[in-house]
Amino acid sequence: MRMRWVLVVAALAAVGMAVSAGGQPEDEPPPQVQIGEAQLSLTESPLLTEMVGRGELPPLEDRIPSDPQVISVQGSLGGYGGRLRSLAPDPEGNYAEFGWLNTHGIAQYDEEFNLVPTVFSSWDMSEDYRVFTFFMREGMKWSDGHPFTTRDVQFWYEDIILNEELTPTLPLAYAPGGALFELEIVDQYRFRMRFAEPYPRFIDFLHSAAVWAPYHHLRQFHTNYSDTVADLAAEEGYDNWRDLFEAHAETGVQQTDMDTPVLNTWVLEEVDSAGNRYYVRNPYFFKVDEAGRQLPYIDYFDRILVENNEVLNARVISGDTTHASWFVTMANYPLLKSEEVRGGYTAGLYPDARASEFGFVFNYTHQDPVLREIFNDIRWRQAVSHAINREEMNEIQFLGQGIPRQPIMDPGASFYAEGIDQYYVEYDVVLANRLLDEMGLEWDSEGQWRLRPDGRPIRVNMEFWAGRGTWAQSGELIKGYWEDIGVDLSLTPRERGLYQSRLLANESDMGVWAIGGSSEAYSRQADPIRYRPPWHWPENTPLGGVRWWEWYESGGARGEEPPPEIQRLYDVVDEWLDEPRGSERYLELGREMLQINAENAWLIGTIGLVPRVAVFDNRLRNTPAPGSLLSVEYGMYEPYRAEQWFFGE
Amino acid sequence: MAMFIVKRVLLFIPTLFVISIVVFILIQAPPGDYLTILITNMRESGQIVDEAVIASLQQRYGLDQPLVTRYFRWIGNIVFRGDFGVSFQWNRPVSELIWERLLWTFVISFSTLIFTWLVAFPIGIFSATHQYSPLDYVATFFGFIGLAIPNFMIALVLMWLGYSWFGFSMGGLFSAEFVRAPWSYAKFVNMLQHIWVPIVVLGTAGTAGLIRTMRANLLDELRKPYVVTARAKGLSESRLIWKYPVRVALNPFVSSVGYVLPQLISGAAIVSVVLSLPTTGPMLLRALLSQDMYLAGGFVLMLSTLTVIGTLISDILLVIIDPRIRYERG
Repeated sequence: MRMRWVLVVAALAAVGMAVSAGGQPEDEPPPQVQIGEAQLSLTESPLLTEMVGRGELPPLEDRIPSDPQVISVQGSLGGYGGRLRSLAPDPEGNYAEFGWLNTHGIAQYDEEFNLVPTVFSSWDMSEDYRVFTFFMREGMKWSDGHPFTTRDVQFWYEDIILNEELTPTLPLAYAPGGALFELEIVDQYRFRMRFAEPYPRFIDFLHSAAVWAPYHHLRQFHTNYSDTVADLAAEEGYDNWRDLFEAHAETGVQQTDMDTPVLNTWVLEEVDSAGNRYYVRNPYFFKVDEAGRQLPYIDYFDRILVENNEVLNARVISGDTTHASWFVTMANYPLLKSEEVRGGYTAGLYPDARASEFGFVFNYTHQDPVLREIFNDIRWRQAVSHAINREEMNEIQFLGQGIPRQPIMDPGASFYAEGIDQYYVEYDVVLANRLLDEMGLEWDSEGQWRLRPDGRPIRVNMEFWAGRGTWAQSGELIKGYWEDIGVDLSLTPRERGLYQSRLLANESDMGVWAIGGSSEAYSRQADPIRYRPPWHWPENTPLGGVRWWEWYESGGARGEEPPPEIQRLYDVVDEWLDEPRGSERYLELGREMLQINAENAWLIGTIGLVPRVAVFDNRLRNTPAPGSLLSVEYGMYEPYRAEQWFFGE
Repeated sequence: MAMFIVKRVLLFIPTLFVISIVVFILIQAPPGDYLTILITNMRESGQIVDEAVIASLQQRYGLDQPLVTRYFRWIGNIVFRGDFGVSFQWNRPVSELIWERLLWTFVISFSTLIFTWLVAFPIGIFSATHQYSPLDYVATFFGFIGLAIPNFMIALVLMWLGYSWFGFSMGGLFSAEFVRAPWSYAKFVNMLQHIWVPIVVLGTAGTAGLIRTMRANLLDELRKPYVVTARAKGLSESRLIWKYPVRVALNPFVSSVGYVLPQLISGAAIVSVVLSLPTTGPMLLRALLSQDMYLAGGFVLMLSTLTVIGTLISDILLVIIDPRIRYERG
């Protein structure tokens, strides 16, 4: 459904008009807009009213679209002003803390985690799921005041996606079955995407999709529009026009061209020599609150760079930030709570959707045939899972805040069945030993370790990336638990690159990682990486069974043919991806995908759904209420829209 | 002397060439590259990274080309255009990043050096001339404590005391309100309020070491016959001490100059991380960890050059202050 805002009265912005401190002209009534029955006054930040008064900006009604997005605020309507301050330990990272706060895709999650249109006002989908029609907001502007139209979409499609130098490989989201969609421009504010085959999954991609680029600014750096790009590239120190173009097109935390316009809430104003980035409100921002006040409420956003995570946590404790979560660790939660009053902030626990903080997969295509046979025996996986004392791990590592479970999605999924995460989770050493006895794995003469069928003791080496503090601790605990069932686990922390390359080369006994990316939303948008071999990103972190993946990916030409249940799993997952979200068949396949994984326990988890610690300045209002889901799988702060946060007293 | 300097300078060229090759290979030696790390990070924070994104990133960072090609492009740009490349992480020219940080590093380094000398020199002489006196024991006691406690520990303690007693965050060189302000008297005062912490922290270990060295050297000299002779001839005690044994005992101070430059870039990294100083150490550490190869390469190359130059300077100074040291003439 499209919302239509009708501009009823456009106020005259007289030159030299007196401006009051409240931001409204003293004598003139404020401009009015009408939505449905309600008539609203448009209001802007005093910061911008001053600029309008000085003639540096057109009046507000000329800056926002005729149908701005109306945001229902979390708590109360806010007042203007203030400065957000976010800490980051890396110059280029922290999308979770910053990117999602500031950027806007075709669609976004609302507080109930439904996808709602944001940058565009709406879309239509044909009944055969081949043609998608998008409606842009009339009169919407880039942050430099230039109109935002289908020309910008056409530029993105023709000159970026179709340009082989800029886009060497077709983006999967836009090319189902390898065929890119065709773009049809209807008029200035409407366009269609035509796919060669039915593509219901495309809706799931709209969350992060940005199918536009500022034509009016970037054309000067593109070889299709300018003959002098090679000279310009040389002048600015780039090797070729492609590097020049990409540098100017960058609008994330690596933005260097201050003039590149964006649709973001805050726009880059300055980067200082320490790498700190200072942003100021976008005067053309397309969202208003229910009272007609242009958002954001907060005028400035500073992104401060600190040396590392520990320093960051120390700075959070001293009250040096207005909000923080992604880099704050659970281990520091008690300290954060104890310093709350002095730091002037409130630290809270927010539910997260991460399926397991630590999960592992045995290498089911191991080069050693003996170990391979043991790993592929379901009784082995049941036994090692039952032997883990998850309650104790929960207490030691996560202050008892997590849930002992297998990494089978979070309960928010539409096809989640109660108890599906509880297979083989119970701590039962007797049962575990009985299962191993049944497998015929005898104890050695001293009764210390169990023996493989070839008479050697069972030794399993757990390699893991040393960069994660809690992983080594989880590994140590599991090593202790497995001594009770005669399994000799050794731990080998490794540098990340080496660890990943050994997984890829099929040289590891097992693969270890935190099991995120497991939610319904993420599995649709990226890939159901947690529900099919190799149970993580195949091209750089295949946790186990990498040869099976090679077989599947090459259509049977390479790798090793997996057993029937794995082949069935691959089929189910593929079918599930092709079904439109929410259909009967979709739910059925989703349930089957989870059930196959739960019963077979190829991927074994420990503690999941550990809440996330988040810290908010006490003066900050309309922030996520305690108990709200705060997860990178649902855009982190995105459903709680930072543009409607404000500073109260 | 002049010939000696010329020869040493000419030797720089092959030395630095070999160093540049070793640097480049070492930085690329660990498996994986900047991109694998970037992609893992992007995915962990929930971004969708498909093969198209990976391919375009590979192209953008030139990581799809062979090692040899990358080396010659890198070193060629440095030699012929003074261009150290662009840092992956910062998306800014390496030279720009390094120079900004080098300035602060030099300010802190030389302040620290002067602080160290000012403290160590008199205490060392006093300890030697008043051996086994109570004050010698006190100085020795604190000297050893300073030497034994790791610098970063002192930094942490000072920061914690600063926070819990005065309630201000001790990190960085400026308070938040001065970071973006243009230079002014107030900003300078604000800097002085912050800069003493790293100077004291970095200076303690060096001070303790130098006190001990000075004391030991001077004690050796004081027992030599020329001192006895001078004393027998009736030279006043202070004139005697300052004119002869102290001059000889100065040598270790001067030799340490050569190591000051490289040490302050790499050695102080941990303290700088803890104190959030805008110096080169933390940036080099981060560049190495994330395999930001042009930035790391630029740093290590710069570091090697400084070591070579520093060694030369200390050699020349030694010749000047101690006429007994002579180099063979070519």
